[in-house]
Amino acid sequence: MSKTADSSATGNYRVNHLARGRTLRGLGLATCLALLLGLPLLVNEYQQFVVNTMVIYALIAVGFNVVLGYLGQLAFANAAFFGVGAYATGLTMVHLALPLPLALLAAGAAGTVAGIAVALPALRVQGHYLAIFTLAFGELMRWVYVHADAVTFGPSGFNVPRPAALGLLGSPERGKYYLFLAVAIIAIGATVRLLRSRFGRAFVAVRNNERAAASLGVSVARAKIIAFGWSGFLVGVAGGLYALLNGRVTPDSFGLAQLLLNFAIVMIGGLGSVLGSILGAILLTGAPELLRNFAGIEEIVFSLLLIGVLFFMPKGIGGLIAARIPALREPLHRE
Amino acid sequence: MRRTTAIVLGALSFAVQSTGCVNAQETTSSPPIKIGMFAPLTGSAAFAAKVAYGASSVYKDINDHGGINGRKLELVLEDDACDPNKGIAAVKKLTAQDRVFLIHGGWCSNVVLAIKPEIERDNTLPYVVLGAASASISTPVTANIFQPVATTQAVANTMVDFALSRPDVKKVAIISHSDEWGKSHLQPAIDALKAHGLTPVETVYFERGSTDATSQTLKLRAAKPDAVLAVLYPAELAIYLRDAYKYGVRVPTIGTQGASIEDTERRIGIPDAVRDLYIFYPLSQTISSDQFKPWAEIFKKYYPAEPIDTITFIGVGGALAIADVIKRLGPDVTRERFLSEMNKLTNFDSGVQASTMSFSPLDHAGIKSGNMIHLVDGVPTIVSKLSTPKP
Amino acid sequence: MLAQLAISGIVVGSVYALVALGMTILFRATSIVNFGHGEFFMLGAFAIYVLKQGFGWSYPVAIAIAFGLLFLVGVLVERVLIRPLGSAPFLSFAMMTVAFSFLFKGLTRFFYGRDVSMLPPLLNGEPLDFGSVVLFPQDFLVIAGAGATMTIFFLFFEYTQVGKIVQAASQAPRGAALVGINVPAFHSAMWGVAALTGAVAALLIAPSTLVYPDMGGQMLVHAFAAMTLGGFGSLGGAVLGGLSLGIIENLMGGYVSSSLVEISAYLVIMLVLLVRPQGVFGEWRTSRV
Repeated sequence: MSKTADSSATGNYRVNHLARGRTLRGLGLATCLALLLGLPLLVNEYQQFVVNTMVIYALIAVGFNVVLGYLGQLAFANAAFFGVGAYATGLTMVHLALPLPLALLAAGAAGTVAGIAVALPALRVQGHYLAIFTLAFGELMRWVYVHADAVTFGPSGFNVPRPAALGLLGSPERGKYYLFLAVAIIAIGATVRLLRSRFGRAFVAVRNNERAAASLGVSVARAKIIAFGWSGFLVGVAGGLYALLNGRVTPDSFGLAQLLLNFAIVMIGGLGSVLGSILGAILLTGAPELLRNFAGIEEIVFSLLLIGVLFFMPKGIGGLIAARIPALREPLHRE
Repeated sequence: MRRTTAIVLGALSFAVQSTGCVNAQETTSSPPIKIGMFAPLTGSAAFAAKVAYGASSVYKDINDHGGINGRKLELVLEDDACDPNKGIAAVKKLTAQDRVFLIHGGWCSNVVLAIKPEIERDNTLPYVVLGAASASISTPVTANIFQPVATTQAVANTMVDFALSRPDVKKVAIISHSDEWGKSHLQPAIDALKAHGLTPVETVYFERGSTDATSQTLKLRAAKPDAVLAVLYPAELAIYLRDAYKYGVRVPTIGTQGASIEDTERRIGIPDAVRDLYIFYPLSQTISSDQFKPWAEIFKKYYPAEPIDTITFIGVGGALAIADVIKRLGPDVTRERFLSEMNKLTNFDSGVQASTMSFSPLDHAGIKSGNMIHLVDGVPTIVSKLSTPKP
Repeated sequence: MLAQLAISGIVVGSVYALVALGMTILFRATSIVNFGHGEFFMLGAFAIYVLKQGFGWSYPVAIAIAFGLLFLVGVLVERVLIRPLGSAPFLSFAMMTVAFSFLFKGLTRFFYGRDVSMLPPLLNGEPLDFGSVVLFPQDFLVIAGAGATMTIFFLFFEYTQVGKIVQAASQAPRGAALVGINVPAFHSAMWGVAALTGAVAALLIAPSTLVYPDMGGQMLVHAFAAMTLGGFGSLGGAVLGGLSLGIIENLMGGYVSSSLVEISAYLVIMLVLLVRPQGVFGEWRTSRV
């Protein structure tokens, strides 16, 4: 509310400022896009694989941030959404021979269903109750993967067919890259629009004060269902891409270690920052590859980074950028 | 920022490629043979890092003795954290960036099965499994994938044959983990029993991390088995044996590889609880035997801080086989010749493994059986038959 | 079979109850839900292991020092990691506990992850047969140890002056500060006590399992299930919840399927939160977020 008053007071300045910001941002985006499209020419297959992993984690982080950063709900079901998506894509390709685009949509749909399934208890319980509930939900999903052998191929997982179309660009990793990039840009772009719409404002209102939001006519239930559903959709699609990336889906990929990684990315990237999430994903999936020779300290480094962020930059990388580069400030950034 | 990343990555790839060139130019006189290795050096399976250290000790020892046909071996060891995604990244790094001659790696079957399509695609690259046991790695056969360790199939067959080596054993029950490792033993065991016209009288799951096996043990007891196959990790095996003793399930228990029989006894603290325990054993002798002393010294030399254990030796047989095949290639070391020589390996005796190793173009599971180990008067001893019940 | 399943369930359940009680005490005192509580249990086991097996000290000495160490760890966590957060939102505290849980796990994995670490049994001895129920001497020790610890807590909170002050300080920190209670020191002490209960639980369980870096995760989930079942924040509820959970697991395994033992705790959490969030035994307590 204070925000509206603030912007009307300095309206003119804001408009100019925003317009300039938009042009700058447009230019920046175009440059980024050109570089991203040309990237495969600079890297070998291994590096391309790592970059592909980064793209997937950027999508995961943005999806997780919708619930964690914008809606402000401590939900630990992210690894479950990820797994549901990976299984949906892999299994529909194996059992139903679905073509890739449909299999990816299946991942999105499965993720959305899982998201809404978690949103329903979130209407009733909050805070640590929700955290514990979602933790249990994630482990339950893993149990299902392990024990529903007939459908999920049990604990050892299964190989995902490799669509021939991905090999058309020379190496399959390169084909995957352009597919992942396209999906990620569309999905993240849509998320940015959603967050700027009245739905996004409703998420933030719920985060700031649920009761106040309700008294101002925001439907808390609807906001929660949409946020969880959309988060599940994004992370589910990311899971579908992950199935494609690895060519194999196994239950162990979607456990607590995955959750920590997702969590650390969002926290270090910054709660309520899309750009921060993307940067966090690049940093935290890239660093372990660069630090390959220091194996064994990943957990320690991630947890120390998390602690450092909590102490010294609670807004994460996104907050840092917003403070330094006004053109990149995100409208709904956590104040 | 994406720009920065792109620049960093670009610079990185350039740097890597240029150092690659330097290496190639420097060493044209007698280039080392690059061997890539990957294993879980971190994560929940980090205990298996010693499998990689055991095998790399073999290569380091060879280098200290002048290499193979005058050529040194260069080892590149990568971590897979027992995670398919990290494993694929490790393999891609070894092939696309380090350009290794062959890969000797993999402890977690999940990871090896995930990289399998990758290896199949690059069908000139020789890949030798380090320790992963899942039978579906080498069956059906892939031209460039060799598995020089006892597969889950071999382990399960050995366990079942051993259990049935006493004619009065008719009813066999199974207690197993339900994870990948557990189920990859469970199904071959059920199949092996079927081949003898038997079905398990009871199959129960006991999860990793559990602290009590009461409900499982009572179910087993109700089925009145003559022998129990225990597909359990060391901690859970001890818990099960303690509860089996407690609830009076006093029948032979046949365990999969992994657990140390002395540690199991010490942990339970009741000698009688392990009196009827037999554990699959992949090695030719116990590691405290004279035959293994020289090996222990080699490991201590290169990895003084690492504890020595049965699994330290799991990858040694494969390393010795690789070295032997490279030696036979003489000066002309090519991947094609390596693969064809590997296929000709017959009854190779590493001296370390319980049985000899043979490959053929149609069969890349090199080891078909193992030993069983049992405590005789408190001393771990390799036995060939289930002993008759004591009064 | 029913009697045996129930009694064995109580043995295991008493350890769940103890861990849940430690978490509940901390939650009541500080309204923080500690997602790193499993790691106190794990650290307790490692402390005993290192002192007993590494330094070769006797069990009583190793146990006493390990308990002291864990109390210190708890105090340090509060002092170094929690207190500086000040009045940060609930989310930050939860994150911090997640962060230090992985830090502890990573550190122990770094130093001991490649060893197979085990403790000798506390009590050896043949099983004792009571007709339809068989128990090990160790089982009695577990029940007695957990029972004694829990009794001490109840007596402390209900009947001692300090205990009453503690209760006052957790219910109304500002009021307690006004009447001269050192609330920060009290919070430190409660973290210490919470970590200490983890160590006690570790002492009772670890000798019959292995000591490994990931051992805390399962225990955390069981403690959550016990607390949820008994009503979050209720001391008596945590104990009843823990015991019930142990029995539920055994009955599931004995009468339904052994593959369900693993997820009994998860199912309990989800069912209770969906159907009766205040817990089966508890009254509704809104969290002070």
